Amino acid sequence: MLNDAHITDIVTSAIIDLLGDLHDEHDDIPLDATFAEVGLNSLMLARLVIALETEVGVDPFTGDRSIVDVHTVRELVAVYAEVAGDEQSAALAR
Amino acid sequence: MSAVTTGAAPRVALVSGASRGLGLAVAERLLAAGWSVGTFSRSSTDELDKVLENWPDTFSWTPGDVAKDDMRQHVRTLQERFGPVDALVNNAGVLHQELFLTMPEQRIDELLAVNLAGPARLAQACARQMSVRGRGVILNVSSINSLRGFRGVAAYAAAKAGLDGLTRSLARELGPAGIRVNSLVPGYFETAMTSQVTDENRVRITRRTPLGRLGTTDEIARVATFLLSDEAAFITGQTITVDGGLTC
Ligand SMILES: NC(=O)c1ccc[n+]([C@@H]2O[C@H](COP(=O)([O-])OP(=O)(O)OC[C@H]3O[C@@H](n4cnc5c(N)ncnc54)[C@H](OP(=O)(O)O)[C@@H]3O)[C@@H](O)[C@H]2O)c1
Repeated sequence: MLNDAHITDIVTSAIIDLLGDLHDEHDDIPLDATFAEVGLNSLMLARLVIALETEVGVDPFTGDRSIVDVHTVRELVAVYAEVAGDEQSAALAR
Repeated sequence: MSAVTTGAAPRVALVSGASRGLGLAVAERLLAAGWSVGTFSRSSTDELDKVLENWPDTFSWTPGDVAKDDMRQHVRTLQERFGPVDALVNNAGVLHQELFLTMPEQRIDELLAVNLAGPARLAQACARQMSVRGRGVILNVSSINSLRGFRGVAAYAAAKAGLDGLTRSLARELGPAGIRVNSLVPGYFETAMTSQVTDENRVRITRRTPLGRLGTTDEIARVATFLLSDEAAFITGQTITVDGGLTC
């Protein structure tokens, strides 16, 4: 079961991977920072969503929801927590 | 064939609509150059079966409809068989000739779905995978109908012009991710698609073409494989017309 803490870990590790040398290994990723403040440009953000589809197993941005409405790392974690929760409820119902 | 293979390990291409015509010719050239190639189309053909027999380990076909299927699933299927995609040839297309004034609305929707919306979704599915590895090449097969007006092909022409717009904007967006995007813009060449061109129109086309004839499928396929190759490493965002001079 993916809980919120686990999803936060997955998202922040994926961000650190993407930032590569741009990330200072002693710093945590601040959850309330905007993507620009964290150092992610729009292309890197797109690549983050693609990487998370592999990690989490879902892409929340295929329907009505758009990445442009998500501004901070915490908001992004919340979106994945929501869709992962939906997937799990659906799996339990089957 | 060296142009397609320069400096690289075997590569993986997805060529939509390679059951016959241009798609099959491009697939064969890539296979001969050592690539692995996946394709899908709504139905198979005898010529496709022959090529599948010749390249059992590196060529695969699945039934599929570019207008209706989940394109990400097609890309995943290809990846499971051959590995991540290096090149997409957005080739599947249909031409239907009819005056726009009398064309059923549903036909307009279908032409836009097969020739524009589906290819755009396929380009997205491939670009997502390519962007992870920071390299790739997308070739959209357009048509000279996107450049010049012709009677009876308005919806097809609109879709192909849309594809050229997609090419230019995607080249800007994906260049920084190491992905090149171009449009190949063929004039008329002999395939099942042009078998519906009347003799009268064929004579007219030939007369208006400086080189005085229709193209061959191989002449178009050669340019396609060049654009996919590293020889074309600095070409992106372009529409490359191959039409014997018809639009000059
Ligand atoms: N021939 C010309 O003179 C000419 C000129 C300019 C541009 N073009 C363009 O060149 C490309 C190739 O044309 P061609 O002459 O080789 O045509 P073709 O011989 O008719 O081949 C078209 C291919 O696309 C496939 N296809 C059609 N609709 C599809 C769908 N909904 N989903 C998946 N596959 C589909 C066909 O298979 P199924 O029907 O079994 O699905 C076939 O494999 C097209 O994009 C065309 O617009 C051709």
